[in-house]
Amino acid sequence: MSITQNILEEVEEHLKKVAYNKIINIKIKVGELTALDSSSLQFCYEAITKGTKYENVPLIIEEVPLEGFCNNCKKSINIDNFLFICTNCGSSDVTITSGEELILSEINIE
Amino acid sequence: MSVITLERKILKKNDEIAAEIRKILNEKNIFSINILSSPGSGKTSILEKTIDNLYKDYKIVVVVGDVQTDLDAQRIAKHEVPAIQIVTHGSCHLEANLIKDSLEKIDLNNLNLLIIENVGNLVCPSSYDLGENLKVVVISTTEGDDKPLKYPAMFRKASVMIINKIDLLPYVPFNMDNVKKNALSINPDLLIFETSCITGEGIDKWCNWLKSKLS
Repeated sequence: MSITQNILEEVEEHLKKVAYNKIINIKIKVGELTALDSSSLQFCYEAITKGTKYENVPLIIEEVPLEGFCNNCKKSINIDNFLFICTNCGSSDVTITSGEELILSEINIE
Repeated sequence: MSVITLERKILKKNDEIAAEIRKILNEKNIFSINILSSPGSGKTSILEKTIDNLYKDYKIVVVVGDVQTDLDAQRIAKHEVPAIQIVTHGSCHLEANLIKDSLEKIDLNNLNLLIIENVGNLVCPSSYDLGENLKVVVISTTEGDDKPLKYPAMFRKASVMIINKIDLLPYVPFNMDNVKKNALSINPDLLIFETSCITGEGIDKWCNWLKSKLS
């Protein structure tokens, strides 16, 4: 719930700086490792936007899968089922390259 | 239509405040831990044992987060250290601004260890940096040994895992090897302690490690 509040606070801050008639949509990126469930975020978003200017403004959530880089064999790897072990060489020396995001990426207005 | 491209961290404000807290604590040479778990895993009991072990040699303050009531702070306050209760009134986690406000109530010139007991929840608290040195996640033997796999973010971000209630192991279907294997697959650097607040087993080992971090 408070994550969606944080999103709207950020959006509000940026909209103060521009002139617009209508908010078309808000786009965010949510990494797999945040463990935030898209449908729960949508539910909270709908709940807190009811009766505000954000009601019926779609929140578009891009889910970012967990990916990493193996520092041993120097290859980019997919991290499935949160197993931080290189699928190529078995090393556990893996750096996360994506999947930790919680980002407000775009606001579309007209 | 026009597009405002931001690519801005949603929790940027929280992260900025957390960085301020980290700077203040570092300057004052105060070590801080953020303790997280599901409700009922024994966070407060571990804290009580930890405080009893440390309070004679170190200055400690505990900040306790709960959705309602100050019952946990009352428990802590019986153990010779100041406890500051944050009641979140419904919010399921602590945020950095609440910790920063709490710091104003503490004599930072006379403090070695700041313990933050987060709200019992393994999801949201993992997203909020509180400016701590490290996160300690507590899991108990009455929970499933697959918990690390269900809440990977928390176990990835924690530096220490305490497995509590080990006195109940003969009575519960909790597989110690499985929980360690699951946790280490998510975070190979995780340091693991096993404790019982009833028998006191393992408390010394955990406290000795914590003391090694204090100046």
